[in-house]
Amino acid sequence: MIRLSFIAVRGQSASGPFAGTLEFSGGLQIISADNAFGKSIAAKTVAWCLGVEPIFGIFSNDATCFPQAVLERLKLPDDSYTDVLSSECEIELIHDDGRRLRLCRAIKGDTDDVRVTEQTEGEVRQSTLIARRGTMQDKTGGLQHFLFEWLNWPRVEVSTFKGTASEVYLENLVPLLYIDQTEGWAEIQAQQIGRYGQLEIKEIAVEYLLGSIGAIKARVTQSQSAQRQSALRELARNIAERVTNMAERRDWNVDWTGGGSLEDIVKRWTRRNLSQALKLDANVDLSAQISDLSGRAELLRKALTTDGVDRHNNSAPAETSQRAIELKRRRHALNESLSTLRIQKEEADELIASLDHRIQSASDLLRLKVTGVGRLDHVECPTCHRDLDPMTFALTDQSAESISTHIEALKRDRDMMVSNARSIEAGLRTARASMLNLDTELREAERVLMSVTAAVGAEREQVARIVGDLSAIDRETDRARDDIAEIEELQGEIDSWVADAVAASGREIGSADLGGRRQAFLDALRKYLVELRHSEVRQSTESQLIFDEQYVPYLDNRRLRSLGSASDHSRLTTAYALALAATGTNDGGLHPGVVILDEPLQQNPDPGHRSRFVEFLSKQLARNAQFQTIIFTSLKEDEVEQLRKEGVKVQTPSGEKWLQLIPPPAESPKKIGVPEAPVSGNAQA
Amino acid sequence: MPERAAIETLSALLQSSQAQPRVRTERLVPSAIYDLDYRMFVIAAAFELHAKEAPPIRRRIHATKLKLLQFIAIRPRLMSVIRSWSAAGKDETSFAAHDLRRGFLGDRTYDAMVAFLVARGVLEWMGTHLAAGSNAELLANLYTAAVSADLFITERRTLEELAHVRVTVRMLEGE
Repeated sequence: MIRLSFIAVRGQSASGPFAGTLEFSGGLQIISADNAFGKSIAAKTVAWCLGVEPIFGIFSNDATCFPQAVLERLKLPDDSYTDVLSSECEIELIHDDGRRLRLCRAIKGDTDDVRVTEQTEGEVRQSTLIARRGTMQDKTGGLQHFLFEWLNWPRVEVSTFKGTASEVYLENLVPLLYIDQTEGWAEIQAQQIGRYGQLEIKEIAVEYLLGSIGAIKARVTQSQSAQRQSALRELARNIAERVTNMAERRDWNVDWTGGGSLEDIVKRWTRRNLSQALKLDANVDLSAQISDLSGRAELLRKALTTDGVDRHNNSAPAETSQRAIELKRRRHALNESLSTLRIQKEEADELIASLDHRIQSASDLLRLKVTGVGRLDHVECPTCHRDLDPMTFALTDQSAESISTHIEALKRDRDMMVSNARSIEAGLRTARASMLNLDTELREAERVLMSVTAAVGAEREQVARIVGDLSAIDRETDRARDDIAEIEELQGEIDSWVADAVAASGREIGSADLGGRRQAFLDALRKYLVELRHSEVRQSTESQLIFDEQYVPYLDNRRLRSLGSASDHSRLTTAYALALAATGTNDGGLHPGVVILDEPLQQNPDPGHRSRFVEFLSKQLARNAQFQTIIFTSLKEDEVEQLRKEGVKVQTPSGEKWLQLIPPPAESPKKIGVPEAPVSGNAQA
Repeated sequence: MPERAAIETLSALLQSSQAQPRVRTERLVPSAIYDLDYRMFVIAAAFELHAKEAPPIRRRIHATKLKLLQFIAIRPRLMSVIRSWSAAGKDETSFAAHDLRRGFLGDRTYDAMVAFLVARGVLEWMGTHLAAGSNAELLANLYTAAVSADLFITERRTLEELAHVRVTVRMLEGE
């Protein structure tokens, strides 16, 4: 555990140096001062020195989370202003084991670096570390890398929405122990960082501070497994699409889909391989085809080499010509089919567009009828002032139900047409593929015909035809081999996918070390809510308080945030932060042991709300906590008195402003420089 | 809306051919394009976007042009047909194509709507033209309300495009 020992802000203005310091001891302490005193500057200093400014929704190294008093103009006691020339802030952390750490960072000046002074057993080491860029990754210069080591915090990997790896950063943990006045009270972990895209980071941040690293690892493994399964499903769809395209290009019809769960796809894809599917669905057996082609080629070669040809056979020119004519006839028929399919596709697209328009018009009409925009509810004759019934004019005023039914019918028609258009598109692809194959065959047939026509004599004509046929068979064999290669490549991808899918679905997620800590956190939250007198959580109802999977408290199946009065929101946030600290600082927990609450009263003037809070602060639960609780607020004099009587440490800093000009020392009036912190204890304890 | 008699005739025909007709009542709801509110909006939009000032009388529009405008606004896919008809001038073949003429001439809902609006005092007959009646603000209000609610964008866009398509009275009335 650590505690914060002081906060200091100092700088140089046109009117001279200025500074402000607050010192803290362990346990509960309250800093009470009027509004605009500078309490929030002090609170923000902690976040700034830790380099976690992204929780304020600003860019790295951007000091605009601070008010103008430390950036531009400092207000002087006589209500005039002086320009701020430079400013910086510093905090000191003291570890239970005696180590001390000072973090000093410029507010106006070079904000990229943090000066670190580390003190261990009398030895002092100073270094300058990078506040933000590469803060976790830079092993030698990164501030967060150093802080995690100094705090003995483990580094934990988490997944992002993009599927990449990230880790738990300090700015993911700080929103649970530092509640900012402006934004921190809106919701539990209101300032958690969402833009890093870390999956389930709110839950992970809680589990980290509770010390349930095993639970985080199990959670990350589970989300990685879900992402992996999603990627596998996407890959399956892609493979199935490529298989379908490959089949359509060759005019084969094969059932190879990539939809459904991983288990379903694995079952389908292992029941039969791609070659078997082609054989069964499309009657395509490429091995048999190659062997048939080899047989035919062998016969033709024999005819050319050993058997010889029949010199009286004059049929070669007629046969080759007939083949070319037959192919042309088929090509013409296919061309007509293609043309019909194109027209059908155009008409289907036009019809879909028309249905889209009609659905839109009917939906608008329904809206017009439901909302009554510009409708004529009452129509009367301008002469006789009697109601005009539209039915007299054979017009119908349809009901909203009728229009809704019509929209449903149109949507059904649209779905049917979309499916029809898809089927036409598939037909077009197949027809185009057939046309390509047919063109190739036709070109070969025409080449053979030219050779046969050019040959003189029946013998040469037959030889020319055999040579042409042989050549065509060779090309056909090459194509079949290419097909086999493509099918084998796809089958390889399918096999690899199946292996991955089986491995992904069989992965077991390790057990978590969470149950006890989660229950302890819940028990502590119940206790704090009762002590803070949350209007919905009382001793009689506290047992109904539970956490959902995201550690969001629910009471009787309703989110606690949505119950109670507006002032209960700050009670809930306070209880949540303190309960987590109480649980996370026990054995094995990783909570640092510091909670900073900036204005938990939220400047609420309601006396009941104030008295409940003051009453809570004087109770043992708040006073005797093992961790350090620093509360910045504005209490009335009687409230301060009451708390001090109960033994609560309340600081009421003097002066109108926390940051004050430092009068120059009499002996060295010309010395210019930034004073070391802590400068002066302007606090009254 | 399919007429009852037509459905009965079709059923009788199918029965006589040994077929067993099964009527799906949920599909028999009338199309929204026959709805009073819808047609009134389309006529209001066509009138607001295309009627011209003709001092000393009020804004007016040729009745057949109004019929054509609302007919196309309901069926934006016919824009290309109207464009080619406009470009062809006197050549009526493109207008006769796509069953455009039959659907246009048989648009009885429009005739009923005009009769209704004239009876309501929204429009007035002036020879071949329809002029704004004493209650014409109803059309303007309906159009403005629908525009501000972002309704019927396609119909309005089609009517705006039709402003750039030249359709003369001679083309509408024939030689």
